[in-house]
Amino acid sequence: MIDDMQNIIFGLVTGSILAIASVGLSMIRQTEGFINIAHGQLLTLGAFLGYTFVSALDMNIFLAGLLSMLLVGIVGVVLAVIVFRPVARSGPLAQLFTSIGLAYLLFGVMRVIFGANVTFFPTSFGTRLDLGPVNVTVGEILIVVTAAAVVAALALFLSQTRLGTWIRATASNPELARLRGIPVNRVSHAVWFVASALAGLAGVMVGLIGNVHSELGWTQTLIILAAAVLGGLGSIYGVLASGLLLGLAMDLSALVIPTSYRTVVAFGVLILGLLLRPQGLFVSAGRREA
Amino acid sequence: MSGVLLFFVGVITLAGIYAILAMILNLEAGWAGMWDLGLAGLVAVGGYVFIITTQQTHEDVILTPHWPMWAGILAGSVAGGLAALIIGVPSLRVRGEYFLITTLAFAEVIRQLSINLGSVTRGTVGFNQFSRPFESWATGAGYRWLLLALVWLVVVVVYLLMRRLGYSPYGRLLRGFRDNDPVARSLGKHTNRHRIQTFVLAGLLYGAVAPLYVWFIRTVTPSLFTSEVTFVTWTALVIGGIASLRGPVIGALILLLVTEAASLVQGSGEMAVVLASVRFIVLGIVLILVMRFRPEGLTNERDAFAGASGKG
Amino acid sequence: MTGPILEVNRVTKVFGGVGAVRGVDMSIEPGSITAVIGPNGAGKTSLFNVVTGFEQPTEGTVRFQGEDVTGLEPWRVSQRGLIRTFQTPTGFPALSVWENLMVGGTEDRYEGLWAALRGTWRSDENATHQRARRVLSDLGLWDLRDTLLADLPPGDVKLVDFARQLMARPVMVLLDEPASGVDPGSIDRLATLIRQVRDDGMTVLVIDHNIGFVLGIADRVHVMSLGRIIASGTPEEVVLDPVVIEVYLGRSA
Repeated sequence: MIDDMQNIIFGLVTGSILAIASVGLSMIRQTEGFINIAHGQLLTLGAFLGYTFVSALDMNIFLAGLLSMLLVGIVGVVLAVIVFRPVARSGPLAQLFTSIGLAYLLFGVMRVIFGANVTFFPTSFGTRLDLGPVNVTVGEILIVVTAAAVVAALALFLSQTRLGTWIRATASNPELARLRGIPVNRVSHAVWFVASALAGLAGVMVGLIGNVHSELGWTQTLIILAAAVLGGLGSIYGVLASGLLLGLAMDLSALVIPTSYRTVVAFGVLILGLLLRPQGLFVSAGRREA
Repeated sequence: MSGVLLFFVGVITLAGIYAILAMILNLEAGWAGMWDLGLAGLVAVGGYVFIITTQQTHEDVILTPHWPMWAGILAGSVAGGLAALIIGVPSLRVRGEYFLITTLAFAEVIRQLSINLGSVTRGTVGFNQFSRPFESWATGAGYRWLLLALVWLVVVVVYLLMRRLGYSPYGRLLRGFRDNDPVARSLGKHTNRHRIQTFVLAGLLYGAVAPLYVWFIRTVTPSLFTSEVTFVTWTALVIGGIASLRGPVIGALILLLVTEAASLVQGSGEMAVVLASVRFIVLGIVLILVMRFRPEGLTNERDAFAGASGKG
Repeated sequence: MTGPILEVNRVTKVFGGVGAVRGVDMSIEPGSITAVIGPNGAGKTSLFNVVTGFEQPTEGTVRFQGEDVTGLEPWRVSQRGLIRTFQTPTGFPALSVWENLMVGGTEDRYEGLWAALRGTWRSDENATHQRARRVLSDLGLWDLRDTLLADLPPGDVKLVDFARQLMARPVMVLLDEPASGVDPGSIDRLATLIRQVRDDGMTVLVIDHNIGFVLGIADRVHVMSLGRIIASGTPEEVVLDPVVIEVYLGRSA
């Protein structure tokens, strides 16, 4: 029972991180029309930047997190303009493989700069608070709270601001949005910034609860994709929900099977989801077919 | 001098292996339109089943059937086909990205399983002592030439097979419904059955050729089957020309010569990490540039299949 | 065979609360050319989609040659000989005109993986090739046989669409605006070919906006508006029907 509670906490933490990482992928998929395989590498970049700010520059973790987020967001926009914009008209295959190429490029560059070693954040978030039946670290609480705040902010941004409304309009029908005179470039920049910044933030969080290493992006990409597919790739709230669900599923499964099978569990949930609800668990939107 | 020569023998052998993988990928992705990002997983299934069923030296695993080599190749092939069936049926019902993501996830799962199921796969240590075919014919450097010949013989066989499939009504149908599924269905074509059959055939082939890769590397460990295998194969196909006939072979040769040339430069310690990383950077830049400036590749589908009605 | 070849009984198709097709009854005699006309949004294409299995009807049944085909998958409906074309110029863009027809004309057993591996398809290829040649010549497209569909103007693609679907040997063919975008000279050839296939025993159901074209070839006309059939009869009767003149001809002409 105590183990159950503890794993629910872990699952909540994993799920929160997964949710903010997946929602960015899903936003890009919706407005730009392709799956950005390099999304996971932006997450790794966030982790490395955060780590460098804290360990080498002795920066406060909150400041480091915020700064990493902003920087990764800017990197995302720059990459969108110089790498993705030129192939925008070449179709989804070209865009997808450009993103794979970019993933390798970023992966290689990060290994040259940051090395191939595994490192840990030198922070004191590890102190455990004894809350009756369960232990929680301050860091874990902060992650869940920050994730909730970020999601709330994102929801407000999407529903209350003009730019947010444009993004939603573009996401539901890019062609129509273009015809209606919505400023496509501004929407695109905003989406890339928000999505990349969220990936960067997720990277810092992943680094905080675990470790920082160059392979991070590849393993995370898989789980992020699984969450995005389960959420139906479309609805932002569906993806948030399935991110949480997948996080819980992975950590609760640790009660029955060894933790090294986490990715296998994620894949099992994905296959099950596809068999039961091919459109995604939380969405029934029309599919796009040629 | 002979060291450099042998190095290139190795590169051309590896290029041959990637040419085979790229031709199989061209069948499923180029012609049938199924974007498989998990072929490394199918190769892994074939490779592991082959080595587990045939190896004679490692006795600390729970499965040691000591089968003859041909039976192991067959078993690996069947296992590859079965794996394709299991992931193909649920993910091909919904088209497009779902297949792509499921296959990518599948490959990662196979890799995780190969790490975790140590009692069967020897975990990250893997298998490193096993015999290779025709070893009595040549040793040392001589065997490298023999393997080169064997691999390129398979390249020719697979090429002829793909030619046979590509120029048949079956290949025509695949290249048709790839771009327009509703019209194919309106003509009474059960397109999903063709897709699943094609993916299973690809699985059988990946499984069957996996031993070549195993013989070339001389070890079987999980790190052999990372998604890098998948993406190198895709890059080779894309460079050479997707949906063409000769493109996969040309692309594999060019790509492997470019990326492996980087490893000619020897380094130690941190320098080795940098050099290894340069390979990824080169791979990434090549892919981005090809997509930007020559998305159809060096050869193309148009020329490969031009003038098909010539007979009359 | 006696009795109607296609019976549509009280078919309704609702999209998000809106009835695209509302309780349509239709009965088609074998060997006839029937036209369905009506303004945009009248539900003509939705009706086609339901009949050919591309959409599930909300209510109602479709019987083809006495067999209930309601809700069958499109390829199963097609294999029973009920074959449609599409409104937009479409087809297999990476294949040549000739290959497009060959895909249409090649039977399952020559098209599978096994047939390709064993080479058994060769025995059938020449006969199919001769049929493709005849159909292409009839439509004046033989010279374009090696052109990729992707390189063809939309009007010619529409002609190839019709030709390709014909190659699948339909018992009955459903043509969704076959003449739209086709140049005037080719429309005559198209009309001739439609009459010719009817004379060969095929049943034809056609939707088109080109009233002159439709009324010129049809034996019987149904007029649809807002998901319902509002008038039926011979072309002569229909053009004089005051209801039709009001809702359709009055608006679009």
